[in-house]
Amino acid sequence: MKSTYTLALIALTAACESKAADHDAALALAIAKGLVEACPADRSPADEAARNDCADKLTNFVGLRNAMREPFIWGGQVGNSYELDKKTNKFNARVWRRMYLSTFMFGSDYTIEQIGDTTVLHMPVRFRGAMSTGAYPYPFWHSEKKWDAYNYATTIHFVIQNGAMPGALRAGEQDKTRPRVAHTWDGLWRWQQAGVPMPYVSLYDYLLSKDNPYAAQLNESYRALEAGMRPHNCQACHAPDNQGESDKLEFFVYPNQALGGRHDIVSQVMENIMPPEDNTLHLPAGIADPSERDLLLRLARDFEVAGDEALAWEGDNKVQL
Amino acid sequence: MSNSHRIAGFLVLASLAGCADEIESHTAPETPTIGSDRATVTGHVMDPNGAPVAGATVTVRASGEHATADRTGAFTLDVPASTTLTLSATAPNMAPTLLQQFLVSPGATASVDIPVVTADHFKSLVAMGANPSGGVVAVALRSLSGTGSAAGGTVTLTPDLGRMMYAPTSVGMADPDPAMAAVVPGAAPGAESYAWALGVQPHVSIMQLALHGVSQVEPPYAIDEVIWPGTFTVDAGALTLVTLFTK
Repeated sequence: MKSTYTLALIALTAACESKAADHDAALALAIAKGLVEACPADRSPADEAARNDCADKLTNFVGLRNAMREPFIWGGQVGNSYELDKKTNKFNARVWRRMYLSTFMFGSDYTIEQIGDTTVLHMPVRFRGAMSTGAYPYPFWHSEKKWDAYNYATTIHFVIQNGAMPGALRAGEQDKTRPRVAHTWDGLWRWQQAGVPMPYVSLYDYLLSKDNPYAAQLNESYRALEAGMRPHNCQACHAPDNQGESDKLEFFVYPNQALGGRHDIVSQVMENIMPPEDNTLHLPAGIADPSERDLLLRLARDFEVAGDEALAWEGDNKVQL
Repeated sequence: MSNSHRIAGFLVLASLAGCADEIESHTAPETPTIGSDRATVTGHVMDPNGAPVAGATVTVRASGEHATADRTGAFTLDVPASTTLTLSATAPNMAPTLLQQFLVSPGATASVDIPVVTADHFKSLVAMGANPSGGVVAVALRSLSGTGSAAGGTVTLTPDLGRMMYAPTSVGMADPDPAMAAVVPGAAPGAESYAWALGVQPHVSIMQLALHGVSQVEPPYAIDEVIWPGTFTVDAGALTLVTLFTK
């Protein structure tokens, strides 16, 4: 009798796992088709209008939006692993698919692989490497290695588990025969070009609808928080060159990317664990002056609330896991 | 695959078939219109003794546009207007100098003098600090009104990833390298109108210098059609020049 129960349980578990795998495979297939449709691979890598069209379609791609976990993990693949815990970045899902994913075009010869309880969608990609400099989320060319990683990327691996997509990885494999535009980094994360703040895609103007009633409030709260963080050196580490060598980095130097960290900033200032003890300044962890900490916490909460409201209006404010 | 599995698979696919559909779109992303206005930067490249550095190359770092200084050290450079510019001056046997980010209005001409120090002099500066891979920053303090003084002020570097070696706060303090007074245009020894820092972490473009104790003009500030945004970046192995303005 007992063995019958055990067998039944095993059979039920196997059936559930099989159903989950089927569901994840179907989800992968639907996402693959949507990516190819939204961002076909036959456009010029310099065509910013095509990129913007792709960004708009990805932003409003219901299946992708619903599957993406919050925060969304993105980075370069380490070895052959599909783990998302090392050398990655944390992003708001809308920010990632609008700003980052749209820098790629997708081929139709994708494959779907089941690895244990993980479904991996392998999407062949072409990088839009010849756009104007302000069209990239940040100057990827601040490091030759980073710029190469985007330009020569052949595949993006989308990781799907239990009906959700927690992250994606640029394949470690590179095709160095692909074209690559040379850029010289000016040393600036932000700059102006002909009077326009750059990168223009990192601004709320690019992320949010023109009629979003919370956009101005969000921008003001970000600017205030960013200024409030400077005396505490937050941006020295929370920038693309990752001077603090974080495994899951959040950027605070750009308005859009900072949205991914809006809850963490509040909690970590509350716990007084940032800046970390072992930072480059060799200071104790946290902010010693309670009034300074309270001020930063107030600014962080303002930004958090404004971010929640602005994203909720767009239908993009998910519960953070 | 059993029938029930096939049905389940079909239902899943059917439920996902609408995934590629678009939800209501409020707007479409736009690429901002980038103008093509131009401006001009003129100036001289000279060593700390005021001697012209003929043949020095002055380059817009981001674009590579460049000009060569003539025998008087003079150069004229056509640049994009209203665009953040960092100019570098290089010459044989000299350390590179970076003139930090500023913007020139369309059609305007900005006049700048760029000092360069010898590579040996630069090495002696770096040797004073604990971070040999850091850069050297020299800060010019300028009064917009022409009557203000920086005396008694305090220059701070944020983030604090470098060491201020000489600053106006240190009234009466001897400059560890008196030649630095000549590096900063317009500064005179003892005039407390300049400061410099060593071992500054390279490539941190959110760095700011602040002047406390006297009224500093908050960046961005505009003078003669030139705007300084207030933040700056640093290169290892280069002398970086920044200007703070007092009222």
